[in-house]
Amino acid sequence: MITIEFNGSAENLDSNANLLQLIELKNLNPKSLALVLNDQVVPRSRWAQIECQQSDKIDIFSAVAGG
Amino acid sequence: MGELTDTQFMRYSSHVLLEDMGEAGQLKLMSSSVLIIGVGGLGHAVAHQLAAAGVKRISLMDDDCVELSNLPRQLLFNDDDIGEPKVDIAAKKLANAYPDCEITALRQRFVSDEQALFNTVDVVFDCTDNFSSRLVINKSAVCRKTALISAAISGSNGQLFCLDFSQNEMRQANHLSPINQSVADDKDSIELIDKQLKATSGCYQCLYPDDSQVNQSCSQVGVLTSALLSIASMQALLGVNWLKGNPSQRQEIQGKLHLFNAQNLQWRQVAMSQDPNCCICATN
Ligand SMILES: [Zn+2]
Repeated sequence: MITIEFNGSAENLDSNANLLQLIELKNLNPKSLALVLNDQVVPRSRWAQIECQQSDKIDIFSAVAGG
Repeated sequence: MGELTDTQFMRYSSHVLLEDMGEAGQLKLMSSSVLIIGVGGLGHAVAHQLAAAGVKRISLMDDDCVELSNLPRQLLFNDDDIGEPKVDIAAKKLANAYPDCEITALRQRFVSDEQALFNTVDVVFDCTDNFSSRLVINKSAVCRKTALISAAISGSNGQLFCLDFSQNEMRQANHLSPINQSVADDKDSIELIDKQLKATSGCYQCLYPDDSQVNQSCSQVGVLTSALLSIASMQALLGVNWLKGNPSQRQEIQGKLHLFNAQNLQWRQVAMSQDPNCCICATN
C-alpha cells in the first residue's frame, strides 16, 4: 500500500495502481476531467501508463467551457 | 516607436508610473492588435479593459444578439440593445468611449476558414461559450503559430491560460533532442533543460481531448457576474502582460493553467503538458 493525497485528502492505494485505475476506482468519468499530478497536468492518454507513487499529490478538475 | 503625446501621457499616467510598464510598455500596447472571439460575459469585459488600456486595434467576433438574460453579466449592454448584434453595440460603445482605439465588428461565428485573421494580430483571445468553438480556435492558433489567451467559467470554476504557438517548431526540436545528463552541471545546460521542460506545454486539446464531456455555457450552468468578471479581468491582465512583455517575460507567462474557485476565492497555478499523441500540436 501507498498513501497519496487525492483532492487534498490522504488516501491509501494499491502500490501498483495507475492514474486511470485511480479515477475508475473513484467512479469518475475520465472524459469529463483533467488531472494534475504534483502541480503538472497529465494528458489523459498517459493516465494508464503512470503508476501512483508514495506521497503523490493528485487533483482532478472538470472541464469548463462557458464564457 | 515614438513617444506619448502630453494628453496620452496624462490619460495613461497610471500605467506609465509602473516600473515594469513605463512609456515604452504603454507605447507597445498602443501599437498592438488583438482578436477577441466571443463578445459575451468574458469577451465584452476583455474588450472594454483592453480598449481602456490603449490597445490600438481590437477586432470583435460574435454572431449573437443581445438578450435580456445577458444584461446582468454583460455590462456593456442595456435594455435598448436587446435584439441588436453584440459586436455592433460593443464596437459602437467602445469606439465612443475610447477614440484612440480602432474597433472592428465581425458579425460571425468563428470557423477555421477565418484563421488567416490570426496572422494580422498579436494575440487571440478565446472568450467563447462552447467547447466546439474552443477546439476550432485552438487548432487555428496552432496552425497559424499565434499566441492564444483562453478563459472559461461555468458555475464557480474558472480556468485560464496563455499558450504561445509562435515558437512551436523550435520547441518541438528542443523536445526531441535528448537531455545530456553529463553536461547538466553548468548553467547553460540547466537553462537548456529548463527550456526543454517548457517545450511541453501542449495545446487546449492536450488538456481536453476532443471527446471530452464538458460543462457548457454560463446560460446553461449559471454563474455569478463577479466570478465571471474576475476571470475576464485576469484574461485581460494576461493579455496586457503579454503585449507589453519581452520574450523572456512571455516565456514566463505562457504554459500555465490558472484555476479559480469562486466559492473560496482561491487561485491555483499548474503547469500544462503536451500530450505526445496530440493530433493538433504534436504532429504539426
Ligand atoms: Zn496538443
